[in-house]
Amino acid sequence: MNNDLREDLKAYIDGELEPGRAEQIRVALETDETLRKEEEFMRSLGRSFASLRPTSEASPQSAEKSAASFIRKRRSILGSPWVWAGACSILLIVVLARPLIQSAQSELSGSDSPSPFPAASSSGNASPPAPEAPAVGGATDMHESEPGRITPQPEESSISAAPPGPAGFTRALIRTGSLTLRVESVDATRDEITQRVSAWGGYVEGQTKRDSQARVAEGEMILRVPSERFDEAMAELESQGETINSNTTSDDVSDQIVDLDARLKTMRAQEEIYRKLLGEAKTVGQVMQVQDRLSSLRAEIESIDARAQSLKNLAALSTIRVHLIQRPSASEAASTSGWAGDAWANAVKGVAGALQTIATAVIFVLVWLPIWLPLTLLLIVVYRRALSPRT
Amino acid sequence: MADIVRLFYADVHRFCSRFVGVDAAEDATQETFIAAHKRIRGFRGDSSLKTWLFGIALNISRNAKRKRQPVPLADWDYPAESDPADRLIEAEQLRCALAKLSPEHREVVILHEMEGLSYDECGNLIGVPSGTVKSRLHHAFRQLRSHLQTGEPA
Repeated sequence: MNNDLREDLKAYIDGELEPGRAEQIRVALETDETLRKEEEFMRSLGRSFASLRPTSEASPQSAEKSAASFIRKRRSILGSPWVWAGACSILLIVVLARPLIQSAQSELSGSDSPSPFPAASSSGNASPPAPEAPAVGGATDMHESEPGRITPQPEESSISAAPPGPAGFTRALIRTGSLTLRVESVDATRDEITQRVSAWGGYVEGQTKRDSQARVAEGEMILRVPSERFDEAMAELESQGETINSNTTSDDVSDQIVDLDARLKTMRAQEEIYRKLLGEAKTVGQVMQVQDRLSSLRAEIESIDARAQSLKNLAALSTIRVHLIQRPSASEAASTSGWAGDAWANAVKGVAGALQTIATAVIFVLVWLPIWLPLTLLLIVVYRRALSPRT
Repeated sequence: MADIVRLFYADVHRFCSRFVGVDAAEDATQETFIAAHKRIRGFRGDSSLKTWLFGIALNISRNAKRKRQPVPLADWDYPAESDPADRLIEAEQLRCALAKLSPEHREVVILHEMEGLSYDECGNLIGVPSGTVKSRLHHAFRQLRSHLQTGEPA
């Protein structure tokens, strides 16, 4: 008997052979008695194995039983000293952290004398209002040193100048400033500002430029500079041109950061306890329950952590918006010099306005024509009849 | 995961009991589903979920067997419709013959003959090519024949 064929006999029975090879074995089975007997034995043995069953199979309710046993074990988990130790430590952390936060908050509010002025109260001339970030409890620090020009006062409560609190606590201030400058060249000033911002250790977050034949070139830049160099940056930026408008605001987020940090600490302690419980879990149900809690806790930790980081980042880097307006060139200035140019422009604007008003009135008259025309005709007829002598 | 447990609990329990015996099958099944829950994200659908669970169960059963020596087929029986005496004798003979096989040969016999997995599935599960599965099955059946003909007790 061919040994090769014999080796593939089992695979032939199982239908795992290629058609050509299977055909060879089928032909051999017709002629080879020994091979046929072996095939019969293998088939019989295979049937015997396939019909074997465990004497005690798991019932369909076994999985449910497992869940039920989990519930019993869960009760026992609640009775374990680990759980109670964990719960006590969480309680302790919360009790300890709360007065800490409250004292930090009271210290901050006590040392930070509230400004009598609204957040973005100081602005120079009424020329285009610079876009401003919302200010909460901000303090402005501008004063007029000469007509039409505003210079910044060094702010005492900036991060660099802020003295640490009694408990070594450093205030976190989000400082924002905005400037409107009239400059000789928007492009040149923009390049100059970009270089300076890099030198201060900051970066340009965004910039736009408007430049057309009909209008004066304008540009806007959003700068992020380290908070400790905020005042220096404002002063230097103002020296880049004629300041039309300047204001600064600050928002104290120290209490928010302290609060978030305390919550993070508590939640991380909770997470540690859950991890220990996960290590002790014995059944699928236990693992699933603990892991579900762990996942939701982790998501919350990530969210709070991201918020705290965002606040810290905002406090570390101040935002300054700079609006640049290009001064008209000498030829443009000559062509529309002084009051005459303004008068001409105003007159043109006035005529345009008057024409617009007349056009609006004509449109109204035409639209209301179906109503007022019959009424007018009726009145004329009545009037004429009233005047005519009666016969 | 709860649905997976409900769906495959009986299959995995039966599979484990073939390797570690009915007494230890409960624990092995629990361990299988715990391990599956931890690794479920790594399941890429290359094989069926059942085969994937069998792979985990096989590893756990191997580890369990290292810790203690179970009698794999001691609790096996034939279906109720066969003659009780015949089924007891034949089951005992099969148990004896199977117990004499090497672990590698026994594994392929259980996976293919009892669980009905294909050669490819068996190969993926135990980490060998399907040609090796074919060869192991061939040799396992030759040995089984030899053991059953001699009729030696295990």
